[in-house]
Amino acid sequence: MEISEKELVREFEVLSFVVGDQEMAFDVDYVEIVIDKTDITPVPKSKPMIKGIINLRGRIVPIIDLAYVLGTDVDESKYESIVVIKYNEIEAGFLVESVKGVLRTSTQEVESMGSLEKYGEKSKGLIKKGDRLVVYLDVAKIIDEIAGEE
Amino acid sequence: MSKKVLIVDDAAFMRMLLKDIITKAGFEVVGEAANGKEAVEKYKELQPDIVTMDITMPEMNGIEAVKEIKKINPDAKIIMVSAMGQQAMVIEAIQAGARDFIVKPFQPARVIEAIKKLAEEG
Amino acid sequence: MMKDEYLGVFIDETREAIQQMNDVLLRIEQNMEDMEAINELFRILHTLKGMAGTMEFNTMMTLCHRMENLLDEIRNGRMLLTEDIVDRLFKGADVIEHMLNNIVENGTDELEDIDVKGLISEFEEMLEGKVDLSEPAGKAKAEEKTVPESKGEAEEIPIEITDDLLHVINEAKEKGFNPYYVKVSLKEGTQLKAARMYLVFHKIEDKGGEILRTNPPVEDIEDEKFDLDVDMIVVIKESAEELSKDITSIADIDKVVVKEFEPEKFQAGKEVKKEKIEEKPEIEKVTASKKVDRRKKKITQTVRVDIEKLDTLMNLMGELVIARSRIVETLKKYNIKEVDESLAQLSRITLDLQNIVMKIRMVPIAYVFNRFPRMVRDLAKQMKKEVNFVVEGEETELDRTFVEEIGDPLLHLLRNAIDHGIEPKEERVAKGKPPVGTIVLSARHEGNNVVIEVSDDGRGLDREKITRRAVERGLIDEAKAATLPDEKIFELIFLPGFSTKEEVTEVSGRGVGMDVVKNVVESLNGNVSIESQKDKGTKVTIRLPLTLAIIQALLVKVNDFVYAIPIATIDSTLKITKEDIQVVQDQEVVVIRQEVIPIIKLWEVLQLPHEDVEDSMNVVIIRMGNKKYGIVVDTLIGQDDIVIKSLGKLFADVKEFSGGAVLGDGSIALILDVANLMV
Repeated sequence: MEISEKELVREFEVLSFVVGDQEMAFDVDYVEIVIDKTDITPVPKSKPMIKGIINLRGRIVPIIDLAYVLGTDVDESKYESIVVIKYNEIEAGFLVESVKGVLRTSTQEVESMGSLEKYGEKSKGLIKKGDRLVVYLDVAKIIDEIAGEE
Repeated sequence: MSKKVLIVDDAAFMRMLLKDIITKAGFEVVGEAANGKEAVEKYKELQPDIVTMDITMPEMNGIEAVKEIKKINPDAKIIMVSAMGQQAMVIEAIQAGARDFIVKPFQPARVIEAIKKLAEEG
Repeated sequence: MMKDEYLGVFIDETREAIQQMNDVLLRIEQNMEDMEAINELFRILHTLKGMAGTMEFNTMMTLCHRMENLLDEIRNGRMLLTEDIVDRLFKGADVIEHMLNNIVENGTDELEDIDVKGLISEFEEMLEGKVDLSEPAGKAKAEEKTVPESKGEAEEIPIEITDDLLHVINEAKEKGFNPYYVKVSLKEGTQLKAARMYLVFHKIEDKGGEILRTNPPVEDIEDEKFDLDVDMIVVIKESAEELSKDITSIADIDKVVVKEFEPEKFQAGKEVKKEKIEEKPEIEKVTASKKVDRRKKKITQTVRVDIEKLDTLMNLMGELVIARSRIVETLKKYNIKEVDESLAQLSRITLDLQNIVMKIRMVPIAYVFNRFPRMVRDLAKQMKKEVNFVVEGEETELDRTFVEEIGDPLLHLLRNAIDHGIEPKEERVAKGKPPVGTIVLSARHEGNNVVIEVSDDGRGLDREKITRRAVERGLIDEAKAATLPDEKIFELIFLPGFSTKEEVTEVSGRGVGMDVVKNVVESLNGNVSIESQKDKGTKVTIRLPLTLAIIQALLVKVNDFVYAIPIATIDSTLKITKEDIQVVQDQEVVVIRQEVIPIIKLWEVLQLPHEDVEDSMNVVIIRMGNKKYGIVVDTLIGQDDIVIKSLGKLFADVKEFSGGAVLGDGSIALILDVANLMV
């Protein structure tokens, strides 16, 4: 079997956004829609990273505070948008400061985290695009972790 | 002489049923037609006294057939054969010149009554 | 082809008719002299015969016809109804159902495996060998005569005579027309009454007459909103006799009354008569509208909608909601105040629509329950058990997808109850129990669930027997079994492999075991539990969560957020002040009519910041079984129908809420799970 390095390179797209002044991204495959921040109904006694629920076209969607999940501090008033994802039949929205757009990248541009290890398994690495450094988040891991916590 | 009846219906079963009822009551079934077009032709050919006309039929429906027959003979006596829920179409047929109607599934007595009443009329 | 066109309707209606037949037959079986039921059965068979005939299903038609003949003899007192005949009629209903199924599958009513001809001739033989009771026959004839023949000629004209009507009549008289008051009565059972009446109108107009007024009004006649009689004022040149003869020449006319209309009477004694005249139409109106109401009700019951259309509607609904959101989002950018109001209205309407579409998908559980009385009867008979079958809560609504799935598991539970639960009569008597066993099938909404229960007062589950079998099948080891409480032992019957083929009887068999029941229920995200007591009986409870369930809820407010409490769990609401609260064993309570009721403050349970309330507080009293407790809230908003939606897996740990509901303004109310609030 001959697999050259070139063939291992896979191109893909991510949706990039800003949380706590840091540019981050999700696989576009998981992203359903981006909406403006809307009224959130808090759900008492739910997990601390869950800010509450919103009514998205008649569906009830939980809203997750990504900053809390990642252990960073964010001024809540800076949140402007919600990135709604769907993974494993779970629909969830992530509060973000702003959405930058879709970024086309490749496995070649992803580096392992190194100094950013604090995100642990929640991140798949760092996307280097020119002078932009984007934390490439693992949506599946994040959701699994929240759902698994009791 | 007994009155001549033409039966128009696309369902053979219905024609059979009607023929049975009508013949037993002493009328003569002179012909059958399976659609409106055939009905008009048979009307010209057989000159029946009374026609029983189904509403829903292929080729030409019952209401069109009534209009055509009325053109041939304005005094033609036509009884519409309607299914439940075809009230609006029955009314349309009456406006087109049908003289009476019977409703499927029919009771022989009703069919006979309708035919007799029309036969007695001049 | 007409046949194809009506086949769908035919199948639906026949299915309904078969259901009705079974219901009525059960009634007849209970009371052999229930004339109303016998007449109803006759009518059902008659209709069915007509439909089958029209659809050219002649065997079905013949069978219906024979059954109908038999019933005709019975209802006219010429034949005695016996248990044997009832059984035979039941069998007839079954065969008709088989025929229908065969029509659905193979397009023909000819059955290969059932001797329909034999059954038909059985009915014929019964007819021939009928007991000749000439006296009741005579009686029947006499009765026929007493059927209201004429309602007496109307002395008062049930039409409002207005001044302009009189004016028109007088003018017509001058031109040589005769005014008549005409009352046309159709025969009982006339079909397409509106068209029939149209023939009458057509005839009068054909003869150069004119209809000036009718009661009921023409619009109502067109909509068939009349019973059998129509009153009218007609002007025509013909004589009364001629007019009467013309109308009578139309088929299906029972009676025609033509009376000279004397406008002078109305003009002369107008002042005096007015009252009387106006009184009458008033009464007529009332009865007419009553009839209309009844008809309306009937329509709601029988409107048929292709389920595919409903699904399409649901999808379109979703797209509409999305389109609306887009508009809202786009317009936000431009901040145009003028459209805010219409936009809010659009949002409201869309939500209402969405709720309605969801409600349309809900069907009463009666759709599943209906067929059980008949089945239970047959099974009980087969097993030689005597069973009183009680059905409760048939009106409980649930999503149609559940309805389709839940039938077979329920049937299995009922079979078990009859086969294994209810003891033979002698055994019951020996135990000092009522000789007839009782099986109750019930449904109700409970919070976020539809709860369906099958309970019997039979012998109960046998712990020893179940343990022995489970050990034999290697499902559990003996030592462990000994340590388990009854409930855990009873749960073993839900394990796959617990029941085996050898002992699957014809009754409780057909390859459905308790494990299948459990599987189906769990696939619907529900759960099943079993309670049993020796010689007292067994109760199986199925709980289905209803993401689509619509319930009535009381909306309440704490701080700025709205919560919903299912009405079904509420006992009452009341206002209290701080002084009313006492503390008993660290628990706050209020005493209402000598009843000590513990109370909780919703904000405390939900750990929300809240100021102390000094004066009046709203309390919602919850009733759970025979326990009560009160929930203190800030405000009571009101009652509303809400669509329950799941909060999803991320809230699996939150026990206080059973779901959420989107309210009319687009905001969300969390639904309190009252069973889990009070620890």
